[in-house]
Amino acid sequence: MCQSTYRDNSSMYLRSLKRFSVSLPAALLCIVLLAALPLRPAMSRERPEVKPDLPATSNDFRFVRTQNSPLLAADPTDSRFVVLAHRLDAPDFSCALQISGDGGRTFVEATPMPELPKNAEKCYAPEVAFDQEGRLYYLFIGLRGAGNSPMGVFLTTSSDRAKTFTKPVRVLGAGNYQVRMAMDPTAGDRGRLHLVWLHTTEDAPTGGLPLPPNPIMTKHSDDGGQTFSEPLQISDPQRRLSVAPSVALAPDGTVHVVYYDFVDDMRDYQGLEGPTWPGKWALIVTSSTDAGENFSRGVVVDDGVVPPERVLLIFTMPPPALAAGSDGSLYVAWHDGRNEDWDVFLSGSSDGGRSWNNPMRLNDDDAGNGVHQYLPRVAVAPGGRVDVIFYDRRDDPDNVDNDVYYTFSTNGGESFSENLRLTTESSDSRSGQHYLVPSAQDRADFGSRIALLAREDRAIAAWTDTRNALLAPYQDIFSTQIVFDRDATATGSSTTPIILPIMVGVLLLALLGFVGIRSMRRRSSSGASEHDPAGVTEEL
Amino acid sequence: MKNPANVRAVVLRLAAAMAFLLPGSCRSSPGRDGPPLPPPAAIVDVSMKEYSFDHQPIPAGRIVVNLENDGREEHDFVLAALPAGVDVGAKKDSGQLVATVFQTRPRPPGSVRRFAVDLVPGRYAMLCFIQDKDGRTHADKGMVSQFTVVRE
Repeated sequence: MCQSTYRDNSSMYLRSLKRFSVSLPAALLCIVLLAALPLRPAMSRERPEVKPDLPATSNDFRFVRTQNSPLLAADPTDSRFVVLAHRLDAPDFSCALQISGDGGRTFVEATPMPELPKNAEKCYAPEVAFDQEGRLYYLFIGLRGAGNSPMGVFLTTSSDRAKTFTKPVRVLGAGNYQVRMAMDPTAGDRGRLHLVWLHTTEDAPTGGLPLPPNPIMTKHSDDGGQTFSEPLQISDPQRRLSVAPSVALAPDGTVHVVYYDFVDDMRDYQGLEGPTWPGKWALIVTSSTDAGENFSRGVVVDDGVVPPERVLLIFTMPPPALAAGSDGSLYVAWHDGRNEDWDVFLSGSSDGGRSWNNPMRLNDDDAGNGVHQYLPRVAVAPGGRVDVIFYDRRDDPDNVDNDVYYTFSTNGGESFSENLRLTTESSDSRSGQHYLVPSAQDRADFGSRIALLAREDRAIAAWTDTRNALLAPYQDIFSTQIVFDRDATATGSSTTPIILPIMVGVLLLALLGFVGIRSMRRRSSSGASEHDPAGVTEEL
Repeated sequence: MKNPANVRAVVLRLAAAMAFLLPGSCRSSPGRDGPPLPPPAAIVDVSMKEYSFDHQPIPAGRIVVNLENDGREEHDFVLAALPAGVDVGAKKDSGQLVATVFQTRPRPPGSVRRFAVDLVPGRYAMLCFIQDKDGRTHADKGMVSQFTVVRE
């Protein structure tokens, strides 16, 4: 009797377990899929956390320091090592490098700085990049003489996290401006180093470029900058007033360059006297799908760019911002005056720069409210999130004080989030270096760029800041981090990483459950063989 | 008949193998054996109130100061590098110039200001020079902190 009861109970238990073992994975799978499906739209609306902004440069009131134009780069071998290169415009033109060992939260000054090459008196307009081994490349223009004439472009590297630098090597001669650098880690053993610059064919007069042609050029190096390919003109020869290039590399090694075509604006090109140019400029993108060997003919991104004001100084003119995603997407951001005051615009391409969407206004204050937004920087995070930062004066009705705002897109630039303010205090845009050239009359140089580094779970931003300035032209650089829930910014196909681990987990559970059942069944079966000669459990 | 233990072992191996499919687990870990990383900047809280500065010991190097006016009155902030032989509380003026490393305008109660300084070992002082109606500065009323920076 007892035996029979046991057998019956055991049989029922095992049968229910069998049903459970079949239905458990299916039920879990359904729950997981149902839970995962609404995950992306719900989380993409999540507001990221803006960390308190911190100074990235130091103050010392014994000297007037004018520090601006930051550029961020991260070591691919250790994400904790982040560098920030920037200009110094006072007390004299110079360069500096801030380095971070805590992922860009705080910075300390790299000392000693790379030595100046022979015959160069000053360093200017530094650029930074890393190769895949973590070697830091530091590029700068050497200036000489009372007129601060560029006497060459120099490259130095550091393999010990900016403790020491190699002797600078001259990579370009005199008469080259607006030099940019980008490293393609996918090419060769050491990566391919790309340089893009504006080349003047004769000496530049004070405050402006010489008569055209002054083409935009490129060349590349596969040996860390020791030797380079032959220079190649990449600006459209028909567009004779091409200036201010930016370069961006897609993860597959495609090289993209954007630049302004001034069309017929000789006033800004040559730095002549006069009011803001009444015509329009165009934005042109040219691309290379063979790692910089050949470039496409320029494609017009937008030909309705209304000059916002006189170009302060053509040699340091802020370039349009450019960033490339891993899916062939490409984004150009700039500011212009088509709405009377200055607004920030973005145009996207989903086919690697062959066609472009209509410009989208990114600042979400009221259009035509008389305050400026300008100097955007765009970056694409590994998951596809598109980040943009820009200077913004919406919090000052007098249109003088700058703040920095941020917006992001998780749908490939189709729409952007509400603008988030990054700065806890505003900056006086009138604090900066002044130049004695007609184009810069009564205006301060606030720098030619703003910095942005997009990571999967955060963005790091850095900007020119004057909150601590008691006297003009004092400028500092501040930075902050915008932190996301790691899954919140997944876009498009990158929802897969959310679902995949859950599904794998479910499958594992199912497998383990199945094995557990089999194991129990066998144990039960061996027990039943003692108590159940009839073999009821055979049904299992 | 198969041994359940063998089945479990196979499943465990399978699970271990599948774990590598998880996003992130296949990424190479960041290089941690490279050259040493730069030290982080020290973040130091400095509190201003009537009539004192409150702060932790301040090390040499890059210092990010989180300056907060926790008082009920406005205060300003001066960070001065003291030459040898100069003491803030000295009754006799040494006649030596004191270099201002950093200075703020008057800060309202509740306000926070962040700045960074690169301090070399030496003697420094924080002072508030707001002048009250009685003609005395807050420094005269004791709002002074002289401190020594040493290399750690």
